[in-house]
Amino acid sequence: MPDTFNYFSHQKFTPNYIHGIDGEYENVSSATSESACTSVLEAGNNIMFTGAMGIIDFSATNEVERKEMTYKTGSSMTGGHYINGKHTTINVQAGASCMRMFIFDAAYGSQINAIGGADFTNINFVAPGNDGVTVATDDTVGAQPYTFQGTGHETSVVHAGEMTINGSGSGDHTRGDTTNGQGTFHCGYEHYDFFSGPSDHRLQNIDTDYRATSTGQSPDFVDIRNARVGMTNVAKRPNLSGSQPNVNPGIFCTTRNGEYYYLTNLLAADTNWGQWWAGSSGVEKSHLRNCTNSGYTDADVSQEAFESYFATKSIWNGNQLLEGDGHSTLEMGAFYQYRDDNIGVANSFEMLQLASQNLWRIDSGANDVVTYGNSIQSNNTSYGDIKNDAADGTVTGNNSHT
Amino acid sequence: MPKYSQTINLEGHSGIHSEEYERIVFTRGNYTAVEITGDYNVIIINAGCRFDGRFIVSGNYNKITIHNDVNFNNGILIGADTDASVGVGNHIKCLGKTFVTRDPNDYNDHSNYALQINGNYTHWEGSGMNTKVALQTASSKRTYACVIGRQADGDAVSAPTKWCIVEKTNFMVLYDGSSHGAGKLALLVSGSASDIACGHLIAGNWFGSLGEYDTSVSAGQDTTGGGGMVELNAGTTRFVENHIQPVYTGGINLGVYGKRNIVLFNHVAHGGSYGLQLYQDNCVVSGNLIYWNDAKSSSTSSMNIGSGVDRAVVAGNRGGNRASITDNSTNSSVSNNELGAL
Repeated sequence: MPDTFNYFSHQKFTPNYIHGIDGEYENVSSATSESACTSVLEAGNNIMFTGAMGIIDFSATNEVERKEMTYKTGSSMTGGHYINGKHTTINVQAGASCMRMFIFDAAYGSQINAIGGADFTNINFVAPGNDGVTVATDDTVGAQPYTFQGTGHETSVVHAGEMTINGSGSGDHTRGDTTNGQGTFHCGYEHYDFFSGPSDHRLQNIDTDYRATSTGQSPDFVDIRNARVGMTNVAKRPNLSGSQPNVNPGIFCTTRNGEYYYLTNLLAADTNWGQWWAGSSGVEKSHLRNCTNSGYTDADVSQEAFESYFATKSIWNGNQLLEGDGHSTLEMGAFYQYRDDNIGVANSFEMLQLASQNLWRIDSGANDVVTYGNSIQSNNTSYGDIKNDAADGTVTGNNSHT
Repeated sequence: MPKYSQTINLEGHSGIHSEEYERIVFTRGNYTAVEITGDYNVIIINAGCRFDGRFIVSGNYNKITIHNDVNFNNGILIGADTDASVGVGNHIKCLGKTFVTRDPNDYNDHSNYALQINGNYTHWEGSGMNTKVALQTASSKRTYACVIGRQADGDAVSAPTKWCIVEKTNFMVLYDGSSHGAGKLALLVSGSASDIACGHLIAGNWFGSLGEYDTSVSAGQDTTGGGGMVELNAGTTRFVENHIQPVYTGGINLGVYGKRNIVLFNHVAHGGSYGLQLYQDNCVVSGNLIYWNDAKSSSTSSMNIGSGVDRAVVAGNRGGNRASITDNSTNSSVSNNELGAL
């Protein structure tokens, strides 16, 4: 934190805001540009926005930590928002709309709170690790998590557009809007998202004001809860050639090699999706709880639903995968207990269009897992059963039927 | 007077606030001791506020929203010290970085709490791991980061506190660098009430500073030497989807000492003694992952069910270290658990 920053030393009556009560800046309606907003943000905490905002780069405030900003009902964020101050809190009220993405870049300990029917396009929590789990005896102790907290399924994290970026260099390079989407919650730059696509699409090439990013940027300790998520057409994901994997976002969250992810009470209803949870085998000690995916991923061969990996010491419980009214053909499986010592308990599945792969698979190298008390209804007794290649865990008490 | 007719801005105005049905804003700056004695207020604590005295809510049904980067440096009491019928139905919700602690210089000689929840129907809603309730140890003194239904003299409130929700908060007790003190818990739920249906819900919390296991405890690390992490002494308590992970511990991570408790889908790591100890009847323990670091003794079970226990259900858990559960209970269903070293 810069030495000059002081919560209680405010500027007053600049052209960019109307002064409310002390310590609180209300009705910042004229801050429609980056420069206007950053000049406001130098003031302090409790800043409330009511206008329409273009691209906002909060790094211009010299990474001021511990800010809080509220986007009030009726405000709209028409451009991307870039935040790199630690412990930043963003409150978005019902009726506010965030049309492009939020990027939290090494802003450890930051949080978004959505109140009611707030609307987001895409949220990115990026940075390696956790900046250290501290053992201080002051308020910096412990983990510094990224947190998204909606109020329920009325909070929306849906990108409206298709993913038109592709390997040929064509497509819109802007930050994600009605023609470009990047999935819902992205936690990292490595392979899975448009940041790490072909070189001409990488973030630093899109806008040189942002810092260059590299691989291995997935944070540890991410808590995402209480929202409806969706994306329009995962078939339009970047289709990279050569050894690069396709960008294949998870409907609930996409990451790689971070640890301690907590995904709770998320609903993907009638949306396209590639995976529930796009994480690598290194995403350990993660929890997927009480999440529901209801219907619709297209049967197009270019957008198969792919397995969601569950790595060491993960817990997934109380989730539902329901076919709903749309196409839910699973061509490459769905749930994959891939590493040791994870637990899948009390989940419920209804999938009547299984195509060629198992709904649920336990890898041969996944030792000592617990798969207990789950219910599967499907059209296929083979693919619909739990395929247990490990055979040394506790896989019992499950019900599979057609 | 019309309700909520005014906004009362409190800029550094400590003391007793007895307003009712109003919007009260703690605007900025440092406050000394504050007590909310009125009912049905909407209370906003602005970002950056500091409370250097104790924050007490003895009124009923207040809705308190705590914004980013607010520190309570000398504890919070919801209700009264000895009476669960005072300060009922308050909802406290945190939005960002919140820190609740006590100044060790102000410790009493017995039991010290950072967050003391005594009023019935209290709903404490943290913001996630960004809300931290932490205490430091002190020589010969007890330190409990959070208690429900507990008096300052260390005894349980005589008529137990009931129907509280505690969620989305990170609790811990930290080693002060010189002494582990005389008893520590990150959370203690009531006491002398194991037979009584208290109906608490403890969900989505984190206990411990969440680092990896370290045998060489130093200042600032979690310490539960001489105690455990969580004790549930109230009957009919639900402990669901929590994560216990101290970097160092010498005690039992999760003690289930109330009848009819339900323990589901928790991640319990780094147990020093038993990861989970179950000592009362008719409890359900299912879908939990309970283990400790490899450096711990392999002769200790991850779970222990006491000899006086009747009709427990322990199923579908993954337990670390020893390949068995210590089960001395009767009429219990203990099955379908996967056990052994992780």
